[in-house]
Amino acid sequence: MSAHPQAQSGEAQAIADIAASRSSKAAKVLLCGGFLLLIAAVALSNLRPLRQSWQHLATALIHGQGRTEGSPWQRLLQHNEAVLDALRAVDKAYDDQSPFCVALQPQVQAALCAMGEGGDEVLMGRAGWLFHRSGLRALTRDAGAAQGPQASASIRAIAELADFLKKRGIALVLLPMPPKLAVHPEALGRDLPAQVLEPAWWSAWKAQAQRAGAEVFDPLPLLRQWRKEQREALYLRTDTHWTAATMQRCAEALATHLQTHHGLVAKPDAAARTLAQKQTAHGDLQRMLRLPAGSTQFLPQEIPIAQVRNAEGLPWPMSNRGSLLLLGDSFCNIYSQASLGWGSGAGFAEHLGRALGQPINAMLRNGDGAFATRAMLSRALQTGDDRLEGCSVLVWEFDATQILEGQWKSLRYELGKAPPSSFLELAPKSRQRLIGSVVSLSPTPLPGSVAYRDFVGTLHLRGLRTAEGGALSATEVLAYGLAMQDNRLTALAQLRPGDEVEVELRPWAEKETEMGPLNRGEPQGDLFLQPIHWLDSLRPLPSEP
Amino acid sequence: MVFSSNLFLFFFLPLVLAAYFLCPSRWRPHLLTLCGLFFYGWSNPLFITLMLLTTSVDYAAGLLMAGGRGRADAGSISLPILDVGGPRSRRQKSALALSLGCNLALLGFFKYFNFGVEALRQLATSLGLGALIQGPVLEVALPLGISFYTFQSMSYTVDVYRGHVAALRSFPLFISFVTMFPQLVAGPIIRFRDVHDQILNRSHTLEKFTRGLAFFIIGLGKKVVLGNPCGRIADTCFGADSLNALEAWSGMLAYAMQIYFDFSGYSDMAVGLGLMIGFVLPRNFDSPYRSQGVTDFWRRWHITLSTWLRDYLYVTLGGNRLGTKRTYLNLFLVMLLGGLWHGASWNFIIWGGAHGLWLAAERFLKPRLSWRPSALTGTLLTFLGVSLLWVPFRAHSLADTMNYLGFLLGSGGSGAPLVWSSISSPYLLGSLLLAVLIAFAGRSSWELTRQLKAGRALMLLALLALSLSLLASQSYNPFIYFNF
Repeated sequence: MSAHPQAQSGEAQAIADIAASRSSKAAKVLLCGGFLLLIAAVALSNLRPLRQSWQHLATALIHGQGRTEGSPWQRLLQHNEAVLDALRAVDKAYDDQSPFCVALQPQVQAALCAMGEGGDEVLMGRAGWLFHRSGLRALTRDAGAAQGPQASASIRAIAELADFLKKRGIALVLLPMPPKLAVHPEALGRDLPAQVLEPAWWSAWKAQAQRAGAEVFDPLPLLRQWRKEQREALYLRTDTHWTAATMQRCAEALATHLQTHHGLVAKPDAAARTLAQKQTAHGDLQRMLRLPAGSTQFLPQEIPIAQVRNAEGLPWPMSNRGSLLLLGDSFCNIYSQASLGWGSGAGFAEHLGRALGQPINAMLRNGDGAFATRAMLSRALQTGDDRLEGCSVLVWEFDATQILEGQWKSLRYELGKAPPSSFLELAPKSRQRLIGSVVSLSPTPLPGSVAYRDFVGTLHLRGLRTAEGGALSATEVLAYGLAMQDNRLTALAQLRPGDEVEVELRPWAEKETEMGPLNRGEPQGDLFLQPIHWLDSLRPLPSEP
Repeated sequence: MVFSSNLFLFFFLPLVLAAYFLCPSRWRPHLLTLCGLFFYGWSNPLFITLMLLTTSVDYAAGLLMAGGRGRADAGSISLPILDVGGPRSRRQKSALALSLGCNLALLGFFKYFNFGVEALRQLATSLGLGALIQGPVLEVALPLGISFYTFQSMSYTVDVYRGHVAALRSFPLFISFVTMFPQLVAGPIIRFRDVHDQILNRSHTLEKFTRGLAFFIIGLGKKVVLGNPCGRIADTCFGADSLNALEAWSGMLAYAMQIYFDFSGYSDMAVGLGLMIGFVLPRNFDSPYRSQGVTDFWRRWHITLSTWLRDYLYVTLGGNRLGTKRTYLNLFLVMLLGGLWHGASWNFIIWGGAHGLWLAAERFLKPRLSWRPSALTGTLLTFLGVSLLWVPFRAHSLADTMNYLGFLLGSGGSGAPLVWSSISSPYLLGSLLLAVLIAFAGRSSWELTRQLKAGRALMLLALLALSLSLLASQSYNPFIYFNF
């Protein structure tokens, strides 16, 4: 900083410098021609694929959310919010759907991987290993993280559930799954030890959880012991999750613990058996990189899995009631849900059930382990479905990185009855074709940015009428539907508020077993308690001129 | 909307360029205003009203000040200029107060309200009066670029008042100055008196356009090819609670490179875009990490902010005209406020205050010390000091700052080097090394673009292809100065 006036102001210097510019004719032609042709060509190629997002923006600008409430200022804010959503959607469309980006991304990612750089959430390790960055974040936090806002929120949420369960005489057992990096650190860097690492905040957090009324079944000591005993890796090479063998051993260890400490009586089914199979697949982390089709940078991994069969040779049965309720995320589903790529009928619930000799009452959902299954339980209870009837232990499994990054908001646990409402509720086994106007759609993740390939979104429609134009007694309806399938957005994900659609629905209960474990965007607020359906088909209707 | 986004590159830019060159020149200010409002409103349409409010107040204040000297000739775009140093009427003083008051009140409310409430809450809690200020408090959202356009708009009324520039009669011309999209949200901060002539009359040549493109491509490359990977390293290091010394130094170095290539890249893109539509914007960076002393650094880093602070704050406080001690105090105060301009937190205050102390100390010691460091030593020492001061700038809190400084000294222990393993890929370390080489030994964008031949044009097109490829593949694309 100096008060000396400069001989010439910055602007005058800049003007003089620009006046001294000298470009050859060839440079002018190359630069101007090359640049302008490129941006014009990409801009033109974007017009058609991205037209829809611009149309939605125009709709939002003119109509906002369709229906706004409150004072003029509140309505203005709501309108602005709708416009902002539409603006973000246009931005996202340019990044995700532009033919230029779509064509270029896999090739560039392949080149980056060759230089050791993974994706936004994927870390490259050694010898073809991949890690999720959340694992690194969890392992680089200090002991104080156990007192941080996120971890404290997790303890409050655990205490809330434990208190409710205690009143009903049910024990709460937590099963926080350590991140892969904690178990195989040496696969990230050669300077890292070939031993299980415990996050610095782990013990303090466990102690708090126990004080909050939960028991923590900590898999870390087991994993540490198994690492010493066996040469095989405990987690998959290019996937976030454990191997089938590790999962099976953990299920058996948990079953033993539940028998010993919680009095669960094992009723071994002598005729039950496991069916050994080989599964070969790429992991979710490899898929998140969105490499070119046929890329050989990361080879598929072949692993043995063990499908669990009952005496009749059928898949191990599940139940809606039982002495044990299992809440779990993709660590439970990885070998039971075929869409995850590692086989079916061989998941954590199946193996736990076999070890205890009973069908397992399970509420499973991939991802969002801090919230999703708690919310499923809360909703079931509030709508009168008592999944805790006859239950003495609730096991809650979740990815441990959720402790520092998850959604731990408070929920109500209360047995109630389904409230009367203006929402449609189909009778069992019935079907309904109807037309309605989109009120909202839960946000859909960008394909490839998340570890899963399928995503179920929630659609809220209003202004219902039959496909023939007749009136319906209900005015609104909620429906789940596939918004992302095999890493591609479906027509559902493209909808925006105000769109008119024709849909065919069936009761959700009929699809819950198949679609329930998939990652899902839940209805928000009071909608959470309304009856819900499954979207069998969807057809956007052209907007009226 | 950021320049390094697909939306800007493949929608906004081609559309604006096509519209601009097809538009008759007398309508271009109106077109640029619309483009600027669209560009700005993309972050939040509601904030446009705020910008229109400050712009209208400053325009009206300018008219009121100039009106005090009588009416202008019919047809004239500008009103008569006031006498430099001449007496000012009550109305002129009131108009200036209105402009400054309105601008500073809005800036203060939107930028510092949350910080003030939090500081008050902490103070009350420490005094045992926490119960008095319990309950929900208004959470104020920060409008994009408010610090930049407020300073820019304010400079107009101050200059009109001081008699350095004539007030504009035309509102469209004035608003086109404030909403000029190339430098609207992150600078360079331009002063009305310096672009006054260009707003009224500027040339459009292929030479200028070509150089603008070259600037833009270099800026995009700096941001995407160098700034982003350095940011990845810095984010990983500053996000960890424990680091060994190697990781901590790598993180600090990476942040020093990230903020430089991020911001100077953005400034280059702004200069380039300005040139494409005929404006010459001032230089904002001049290889700052090669400075030999902190005074030199502030002549090379964010030059337009330093200039603004010098002309409108330092000089107003008396500069170096009121004695040695007052000069030191002024230097300190200006830098302290400069720190606060960046953001409402104790960390920015410390960062600004420390720079102020360093400036004052350098000014005090320079004539008194017989020892003169060699050019290399001076550069290295300055870079070290500047980099250390980036730690409070980047850290989230005072506690984080102290922890990080401790890690630099090896207090992080000898745990498993997880962070190093995650940042030591050939891509990240190679990018960091390249960034350091360019920062210390590379030629500046101004030099590189001065003479363009076919070979350099081809290299620039290759850089463009690389930048666009990286942009297409990764969504990690933060821009630090958008937070200010």
